[in-house]
Amino acid sequence: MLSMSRAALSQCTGNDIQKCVACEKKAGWNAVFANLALALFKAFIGYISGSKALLGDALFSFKDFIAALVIVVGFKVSGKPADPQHPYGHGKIEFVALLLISIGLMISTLFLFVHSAHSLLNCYHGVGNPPRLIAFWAALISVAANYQLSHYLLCVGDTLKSPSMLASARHNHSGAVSSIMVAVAVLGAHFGGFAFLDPLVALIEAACLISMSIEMLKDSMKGLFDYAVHPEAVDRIESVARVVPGVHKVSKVVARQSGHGLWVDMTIKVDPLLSHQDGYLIGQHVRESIQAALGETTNVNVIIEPYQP
Amino acid sequence: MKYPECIQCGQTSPKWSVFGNTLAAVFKVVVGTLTGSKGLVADGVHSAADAMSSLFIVIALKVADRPHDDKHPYGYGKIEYISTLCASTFLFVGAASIFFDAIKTFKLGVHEIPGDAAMLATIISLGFSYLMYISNQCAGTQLCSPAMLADANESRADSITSVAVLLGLIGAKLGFSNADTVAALIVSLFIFNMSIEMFLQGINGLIDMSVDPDIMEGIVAASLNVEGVAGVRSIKTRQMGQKNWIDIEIAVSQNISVLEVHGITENVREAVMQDVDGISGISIATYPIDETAGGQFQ
Repeated sequence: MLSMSRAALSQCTGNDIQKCVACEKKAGWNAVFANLALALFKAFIGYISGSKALLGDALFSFKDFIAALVIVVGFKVSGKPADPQHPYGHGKIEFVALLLISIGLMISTLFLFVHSAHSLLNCYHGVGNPPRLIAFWAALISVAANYQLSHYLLCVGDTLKSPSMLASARHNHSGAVSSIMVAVAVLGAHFGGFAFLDPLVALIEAACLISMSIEMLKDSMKGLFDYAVHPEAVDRIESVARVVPGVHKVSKVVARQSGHGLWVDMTIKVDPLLSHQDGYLIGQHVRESIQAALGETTNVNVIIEPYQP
Repeated sequence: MKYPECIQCGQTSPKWSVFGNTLAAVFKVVVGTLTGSKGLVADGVHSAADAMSSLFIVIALKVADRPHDDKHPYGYGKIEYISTLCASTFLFVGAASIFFDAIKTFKLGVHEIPGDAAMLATIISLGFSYLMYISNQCAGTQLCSPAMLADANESRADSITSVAVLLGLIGAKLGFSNADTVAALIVSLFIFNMSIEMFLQGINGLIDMSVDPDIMEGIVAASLNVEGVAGVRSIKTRQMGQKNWIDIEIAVSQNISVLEVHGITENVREAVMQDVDGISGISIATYPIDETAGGQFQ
């Protein structure tokens, strides 16, 4: 997996960006498989070595795997064009996926939490067993792999200006930090006799995972509830529309996110004595300038109303 | 909506099902413990889960009722679908537990001979859940509320389970010792199917599904009736819980003034709101056409 990543990396650092567009898809799949392999590897070693912290770390990688999968597969599904049954397209599927993933993550983290709290209690009573040393090596491998992967995704994301790739890179970077913690904990438990370190690190990981899944849940809820997008985006739309000749006032701007697309509902006020034809052309002009400013994926619905001071 | 009382009924019906499920849970666990029927106790635990799920639906309905605000310009209707998803998960887990229990009994071959009290309790709980199902189904259909319909589906699953338990008990009395296990297996498959259907419904609502073609036709017909509307160029709809959001583009003569066009769109809004039920918002765009050249849109 690593050598594959490295080969792709050397491709991306080259000047030929054209080659890299095909590489974005490949990079996405590389992230999926690398994270899945890491998760399975750590879950297996965590299980046989009895290290709770490594099990938690496996959950981290599993989350990265799912996130990477949503980017690759979700992009395909949510990019499906609108059909009569889904007149606004399929963009919201991404939010639904996020909702389901965050709930799944919460439930599995809860198990980890109970499990590690239990063994922390055992350590307190002096009956805890330190994990086997193999967990340490697994954690080291995971640090290296996560670090490589984040470096690689950072390169691809930077070259292609892909925010989702950069997000993946950040995920893997925090994964590397988490694995360092695990390595230290296993070492401390094994040689220092601090058996409690391992479940303690697992608890910290569980806390991080819970807070992350709550963030994910909030994000997905916002999307599903048609939460108003950033005030700055609305301000931007308003300022672009206001300077279009013939627009007297922008009276309403509402925008909602659906997958990667933005749906804007807005009302502009024009001279009441203008003919319908001219009013419509002003509206077209507004739509075009907003699409020029915010990108082609923006859907703009302009309502024209007479201006009455 | 058939009657004005439907709104009233829609408010009380979900609360009754929280109350009814809680009562059923207590009743089943107590009678099950007294008569020594493990099946009845397990059924009681299931009812407790139903009570929780119903409580969640009551909360969701409260939230869905909130008016739209700056941060949620399209209102809170979508929460009903999220509660549908939750209810479907509850059903799924319930079906799985029934399924694995039945498999276990098959393997171990342990059969308790249940007392008459268990049979009586099952009949009472069957009546209970059937009443809750009828009430929620009626209110949910009249108000087009996905959350209430989900609640109704849960009560329906409960009544089917009770029927199966009853058949199993009767079969055991007649000497077919495996009757209750077979009944439980069939019921669990049925509930599995139901939960998956509910899950897909919830997902569909969340991804901006359009409304029924009949409703769309009603909207088009209502707007075509308005004077000055030459045609409907496009219509987009999406479901928002009990109500729907409409985006419509009508064709109007290009030669009249913007002020007159505005008068026409206001008339269309009024006509559609009056003729068609369950609309949370309608946005009407206009498209200019040259009527003298015979430019008609369909």
